[in-house]
Amino acid sequence: MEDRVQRVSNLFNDINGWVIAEIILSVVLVWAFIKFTQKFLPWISEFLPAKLRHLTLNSVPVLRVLALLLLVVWIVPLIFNITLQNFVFIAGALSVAVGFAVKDLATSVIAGFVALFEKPYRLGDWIKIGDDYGEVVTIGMRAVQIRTPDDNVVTIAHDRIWTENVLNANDGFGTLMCVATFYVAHNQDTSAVAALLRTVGKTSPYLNLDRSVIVVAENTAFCMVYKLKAYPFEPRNQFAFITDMTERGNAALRAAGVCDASVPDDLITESARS
Amino acid sequence: MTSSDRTELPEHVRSLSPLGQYQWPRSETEQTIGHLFDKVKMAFGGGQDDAAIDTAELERRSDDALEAAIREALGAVLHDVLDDGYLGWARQDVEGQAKRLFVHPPMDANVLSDWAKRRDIPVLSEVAQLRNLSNAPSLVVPNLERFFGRQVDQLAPLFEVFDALAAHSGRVLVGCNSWAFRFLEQFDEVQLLFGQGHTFPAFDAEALAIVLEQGIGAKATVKSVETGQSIFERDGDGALNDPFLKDLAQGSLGHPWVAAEMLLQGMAEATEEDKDTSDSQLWVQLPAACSVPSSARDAHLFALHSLLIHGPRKVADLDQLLPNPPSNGVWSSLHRNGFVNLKDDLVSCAIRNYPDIRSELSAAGFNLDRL
Repeated sequence: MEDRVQRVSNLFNDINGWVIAEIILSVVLVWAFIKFTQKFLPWISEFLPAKLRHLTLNSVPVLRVLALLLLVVWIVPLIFNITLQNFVFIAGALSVAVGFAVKDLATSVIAGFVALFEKPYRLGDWIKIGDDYGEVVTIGMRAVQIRTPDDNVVTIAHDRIWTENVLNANDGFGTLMCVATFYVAHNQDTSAVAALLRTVGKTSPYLNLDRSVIVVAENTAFCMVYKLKAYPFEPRNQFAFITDMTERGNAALRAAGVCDASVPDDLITESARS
Repeated sequence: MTSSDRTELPEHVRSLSPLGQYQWPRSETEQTIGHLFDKVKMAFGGGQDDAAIDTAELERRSDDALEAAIREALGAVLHDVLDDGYLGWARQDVEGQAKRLFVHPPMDANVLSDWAKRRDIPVLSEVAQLRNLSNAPSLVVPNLERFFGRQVDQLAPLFEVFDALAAHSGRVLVGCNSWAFRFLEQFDEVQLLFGQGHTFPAFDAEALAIVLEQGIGAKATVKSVETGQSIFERDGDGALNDPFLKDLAQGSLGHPWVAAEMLLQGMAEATEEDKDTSDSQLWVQLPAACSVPSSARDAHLFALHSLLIHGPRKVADLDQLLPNPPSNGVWSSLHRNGFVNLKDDLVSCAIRNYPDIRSELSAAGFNLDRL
């Protein structure tokens, strides 16, 4: 019995007031550093060129993990007497505690750590997980927060990356593809319509000139579907860009005398007619 | 002043630079961060505490004769560079491709047309002139950006010009603003018709010293507010003593006409009681950084981008080229903040603040021009 007590007491160092003060100070400093990077770096990145902005935003979660690692490396030797034997003992006890008590939290934290290296999303990316689409605004230890186009913030635990596909529209780059769809009646000059829509894309003030403008035409039973695909210079402009292409595309098609698609009469039910 | 009267420019600024090889004095990132730093400094009321003269004792100097002399000296130098690149070719003294392209950042719109007129080369400035000039052995189209608007229904005149140029058998030099060219690059015709374009070289401190000294001449001693030294003074090895011209070359992105406007903007003389009457002494400092207002920021930036692409135009014409119905007062707001000149309803870019405009657009992610 005395031997066990001796072994447990050997796990810990002498903890006096100074050690406690040092631990509290370290935690406060790291907390302040993390808060500072979370507020300051995204703010400063707004003033930087696109390339540098993404680099700055991506450094936020990395800096947080580094700060936390530093904190652990600093604090653990203050509390524990680190030997190989003690390390195995503590790690075992910790695994059991984590396994039973905070399994879900631990899974999310580990997934968050994996996400740092695998990079399924970064700050500033536009992602879709499940039904939620939006811009990544925060990457925390447990969860990622996205701001949807309707200005809602959705918090999604990192562990969703184990089970669900993550759709990333820009994948760390400063642009993403936008698509404006047009429905045109059959028997129109396909190449002329495609060329006109391409010019619509090329003349948009939101266009990223480093990327191509593509028009894809598809035959359907009742009409031709044209998809005008192009990239905005700033991902946040994606909805304004799609609206701009749609508005000007419709106007250009009308001005060129191109007929809109219409639903065949025989498909309109009597109730719809009335 | 003839070219033989002038001090010879350094070798690297005597000839045109191929597009893509412009020697930017600072990278895009350095420029944008520098601009941000200047804005922060301004926001905290940063001044030059250790300046050689109290700026409160200076009043802005406006001297039409001096300004005209500087602009004339600069114009002559730019014409020499154009002579070096195009004159022999335009007169068919030397072999070369039939169509050539000259791209330039925003500047006095008449530099290329003045050069052509002085060398007796016909100039195409309107689509209506196409028929009359179709048989000219050589032709200059000084401002391609004037032939289009960034709208689906405003590109037709441009393609009419392209068709005429493709059919033209003589030599054609086409000048285009670098922002307009960045937009036009997406159309295959531009690449196919013209091939490799050229631009003015970047002027460093040495080149600026020669050009500006020729303009100012013996009219005045020009001293830096920061150091109190003459900006043209050289040491025993012939190197410039004062860092002002180096800062000016960097701040102006290497564009000498921007540097000249910045110099004129920052020129001041001591008030009467502080003036040394024995000498005409001018003080210069780099102009303070300009910021786009934070309210309606997007509207301001889209307006500036559109202005750079299309060049000087009427307010109503530019308004049609903006993405959304324009906010009332966006041009007067830009004018108030020093980004544009507004005269008789005509808007043009304030050249002295062009580097700030470029930095603001860069920070907002807009497509920048490429030289």
